[in-house]
Amino acid sequence: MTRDQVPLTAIANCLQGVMPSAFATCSADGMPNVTYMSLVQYVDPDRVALSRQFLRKTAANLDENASAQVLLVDPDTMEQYLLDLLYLHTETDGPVFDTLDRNLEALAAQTGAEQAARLRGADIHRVVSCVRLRDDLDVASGRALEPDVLRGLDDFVRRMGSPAAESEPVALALRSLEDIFGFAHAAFLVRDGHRLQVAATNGYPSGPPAEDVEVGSGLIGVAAERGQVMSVPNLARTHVMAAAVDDRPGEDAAVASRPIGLPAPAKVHSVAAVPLVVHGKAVGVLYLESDKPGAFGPCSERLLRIVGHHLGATVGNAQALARSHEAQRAVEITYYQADDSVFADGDYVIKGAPGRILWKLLREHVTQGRVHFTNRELRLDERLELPAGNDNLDSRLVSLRRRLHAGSWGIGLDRVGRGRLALQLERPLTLAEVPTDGPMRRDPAWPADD
Amino acid sequence: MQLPLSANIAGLARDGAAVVVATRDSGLRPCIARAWGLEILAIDDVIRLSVEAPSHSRTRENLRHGAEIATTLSRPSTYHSAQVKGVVADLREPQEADLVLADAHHRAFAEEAQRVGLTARHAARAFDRGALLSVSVTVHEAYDQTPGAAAGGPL
Repeated sequence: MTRDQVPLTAIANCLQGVMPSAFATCSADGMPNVTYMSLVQYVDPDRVALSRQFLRKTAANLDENASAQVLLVDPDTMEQYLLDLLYLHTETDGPVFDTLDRNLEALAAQTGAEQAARLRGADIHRVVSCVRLRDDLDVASGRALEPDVLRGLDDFVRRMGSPAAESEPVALALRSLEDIFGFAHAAFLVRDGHRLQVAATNGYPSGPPAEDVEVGSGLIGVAAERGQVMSVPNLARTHVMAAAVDDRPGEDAAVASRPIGLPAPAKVHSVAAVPLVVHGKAVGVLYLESDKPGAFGPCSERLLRIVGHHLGATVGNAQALARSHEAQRAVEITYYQADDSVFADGDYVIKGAPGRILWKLLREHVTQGRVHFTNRELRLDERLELPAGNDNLDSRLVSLRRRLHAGSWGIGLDRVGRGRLALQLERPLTLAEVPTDGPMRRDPAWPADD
Repeated sequence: MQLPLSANIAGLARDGAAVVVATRDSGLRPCIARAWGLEILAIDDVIRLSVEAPSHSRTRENLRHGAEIATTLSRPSTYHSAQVKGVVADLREPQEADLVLADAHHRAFAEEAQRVGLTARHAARAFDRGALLSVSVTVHEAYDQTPGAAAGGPL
C-alpha cells in the first residue's frame, strides 16, 4: 500500500449503511455503469461485501469485468473515500450473506418494504485501493470499526453487579445505558409468550405505552424471534427507499412506522432492537432510538449484543432471586371463625365447610407436620360439621382444590389414591385464628392446640 | 436519437439530485466523480455538466473526446433516479454560466440533503467547485434507476 492508502478499519462510519454508496462497473466493451448501493459491508481488512438486489447491469458487468469502484461517504464528516475493488465471487449463504440479509430484513421490518429487502446475493470484493477523494480538506475524525468500548462495558457490568441492581435492575440498566453509552431513549420490553409488553422506558416524557408487540412482527418482534440485534442506521433513508420501491409518496421518517406507541423524541434517525437472550431464548427486547443517523449499525452491533446478553442474564438472575425470596417467605393464613373463611396473604381463599376443611389440614400440618389425610377422617371429624349421610365431601374437596390451584400461594391439595389426600406446600405457613363472640359464633369452637 | 431528457433528467437535477459520473481507463477500471449543474442543450440528446476532475486525477485523465461516460442522478428525498450513458462530445474549462448552474444545483442538493438528516456543512464538503471541468455528453442510452422491480428499464 502507498502512503495515501486508508485502512478499511479507519472508515467504519462509511460502512454503517447511513449514506448510499455510488458504485461503478464497466462492461467488456468499455461502457461504464454507475448506480447507488444500499449497503457496503466490512468483511475483513481486505474485503467488503455489497448487496445484490435490483442491479442486473451491474451483475452483468461484474461477470465480464471484475474491476469496480465504490464511493463511500462518512455521514458524520462528509469525508469521501474511493475504493477500487476487484469482484471475487457471490455468496448466497454463510455468515456474510446472513449479516447482509439481516440488515436488510431490519429495514423491511421497519418499513414493510419486503421487495426492497430481497437479497439475491452478497458480492464479495477485494479492496485494491482505498483513498480519500479530496486531499485538500482537513481530515475529520470518525468512529472506528471496533471502537474501544471495553471501558464502557466494564462500567456497565460493574453497575449491573452492584447491590442496586438487585432491587431495580431494569431502571438501573436504562439509566446506565444513557450515562455510559449515550443511549438516551430506551424501552424495555418483557416477553410473555408470543407478546412483548413495554415494562419500562427511559428518555420519554410519559411512561410505558399500554400496547404490546407480537413476536415476529416489526423490528422488535423480529429481533425477539431471531434472537439477533436488528438495527436501522438511517430511518429517513430507509423510508425513502421503501417509498421509492413501492412507487408511493414518501412519509415523515421521523414519525413513520415506529413500532410501539412511544412518545416521539424530537427526531428519530436511527433505531435498534436488542434481544435479551437467556439460554438461547429471548426473554425480552431492549429498544433504542436516537436522533442521530448512524447511532446504531454495524459499528455498535457487537456492543449491543453483549449488552443484551448481560442485561438478559442480570434481569433473569434478579427474577430468579425474587422468586427464591418469595419461596422463603411464609404464607400468612388467617381463619375467621365468624364464617369459616380462610385468607392467604390477605387474599380470600374459601369459606364455609371447605374453609373448615382447609383450616383443619393446615393446622394439623403446622402443629403435627402432617401432609397426608384421608376422606374418612374428614367425615368423622365432628368439628367440620359435615351433615351425616350426605356430606358432599367430594364436591367440597373439588371446590377447595380449584380455589387453591387458581391462587398463587403455593398451596395445593392433591388426590394421591382412593380416599387419600396430600397437601403440597411450596412455602412455610404462619397461622392466625380470629375468634368471634357475636351471633355467628359457632359452638363448639375449635379446641385449643394440644 | 431524440430522448425525452428534459422531462426526466433536467427535472431531477433541478430538484437537487446527487449526480455522479463514471468514466474508465484503458484497463476498463471505472472511476467515479461528482458532477453539478447538469443542463440539457438545445439538441435534446446532448447534456452538459460540470464534473469534479482535479488535475492529475483519474477522472481528468479518462475524460477525452469520444470517451464513454455514465451519469446517474438520484434525488435523496425520494430516491427517484435515472442514468444516462453516452460519449464525451466536448471538454472545456467551466465558464461563468457553468459555475452559476453548478452553484444553483449545489444549493438545491443541500436542501435535499437536509431533508434526510444531513446538514449544510455536509453538503458543502461534497462540492469541489475549484476542480470542475465542463463536459458535454452525447447521450445514447437513458434508464430509470429508481429502486424497485422497474429499475434498469429504459426511460
